[in-house]
Amino acid sequence: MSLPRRLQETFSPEEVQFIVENQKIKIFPRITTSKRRSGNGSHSSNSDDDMSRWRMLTMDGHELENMIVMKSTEVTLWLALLLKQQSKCNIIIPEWLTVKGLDLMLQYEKRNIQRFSALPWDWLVVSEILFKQAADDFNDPIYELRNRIQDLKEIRQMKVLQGLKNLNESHMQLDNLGLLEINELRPFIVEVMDKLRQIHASVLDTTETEPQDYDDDKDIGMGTSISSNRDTSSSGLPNAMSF
Amino acid sequence: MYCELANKLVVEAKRTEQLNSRNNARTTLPVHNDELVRDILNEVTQLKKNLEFFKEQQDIMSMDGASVDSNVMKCQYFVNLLCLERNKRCLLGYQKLRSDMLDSMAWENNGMDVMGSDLGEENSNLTHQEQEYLKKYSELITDMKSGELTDIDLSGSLTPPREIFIDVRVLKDAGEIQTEYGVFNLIKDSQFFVRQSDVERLIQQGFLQKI
Repeated sequence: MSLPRRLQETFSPEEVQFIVENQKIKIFPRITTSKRRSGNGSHSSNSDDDMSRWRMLTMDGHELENMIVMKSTEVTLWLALLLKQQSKCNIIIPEWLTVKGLDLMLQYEKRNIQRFSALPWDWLVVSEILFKQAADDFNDPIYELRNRIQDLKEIRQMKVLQGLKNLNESHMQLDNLGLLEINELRPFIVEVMDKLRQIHASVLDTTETEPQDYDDDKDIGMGTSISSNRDTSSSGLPNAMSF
Repeated sequence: MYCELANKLVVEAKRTEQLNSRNNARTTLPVHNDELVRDILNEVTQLKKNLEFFKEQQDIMSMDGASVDSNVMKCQYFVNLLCLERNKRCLLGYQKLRSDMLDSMAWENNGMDVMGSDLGEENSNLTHQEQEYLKKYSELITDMKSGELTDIDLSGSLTPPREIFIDVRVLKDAGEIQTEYGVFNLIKDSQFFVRQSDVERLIQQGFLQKI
């Protein structure tokens, strides 16, 4: 087909990064591109002409037009990275990507076994990119941040694995799970849930005695093996399973 | 046994699929199994003859007025029909897999930069009809590409762009190939720092290696 099979049902990691790079991020520019209204003397008209000659054209927004040195503005991440490569800006590290912020998240993760902490959806990718390309902009030492990110990743991974025990055919709830984490789980979970759903549907077909819905307690007339299996799997948790 | 040959065909198709799903390298299509297909077709004609024979017999018996056990007859019809259906399904599955792979080949590495070049080395493994199909399909793709207003290269690289300028190393080719944005003298084992969009096609063709 026109799309290779490995891309047909999920995003590749590169595509995830591409999506994330469209987020906004704050920077300190090191160049000035805004036209100065109050020029001094004869010089101003000349420089104004120069400025208008190389106006930067972009599809979105005009932040690029009026950057002033060391005055923070918000631009898209890919642009920030491009400027950063040429050392024309400093990236302002987001609030959560500090030792303090990550520690808070870690504490939350450890306290709440059933839930994921409220990290931004692109936390893994953004931290990866910034560690790689903007390492000199961090206030905290990078190795500590890396440690914490790694800890968070492992804790959340463990919770995901715990949560997979509760796979069922109707729904699952994955609050605050990052895009990359979802992306690597997607093929597995979707496939398993699909199969479960098929099995469930066939059971429903054979015993069409009463109108049944997806509530666990109601479907009594189901095939024994499957219903017992589902009962054990969803025990201990309320119906809306949260990881 | 009924339809055993068709099963072989399906197993072979499965094997082909697995071979190509593992390595991300170019899809390679094995030889079209003409012999097996012909045997299956023979079986199909045989089954069809059976059906006709049953029909004749039923006609004769009903003419005689004898009490025909029509249920047995119906059963024979039914089983024969199922066998025909199964053979058809297997043949279609086999052919669909092959045509899907041909499609992906046409998308991956045909019509990049050098338009109108067909896949040379694969042709021997394809049947005549498949070659015809591949040619027509490539034409369809080129039609679609020329129909677009913007000059999007729809069969181009699917990985999102990361850096504008990249380092490339020349892997095997010597000589000046590239003419679209100026001439590059590509000597084996030399390195260039070039715009990615310029060399994307050469990378796909395997002349250059991205660093």
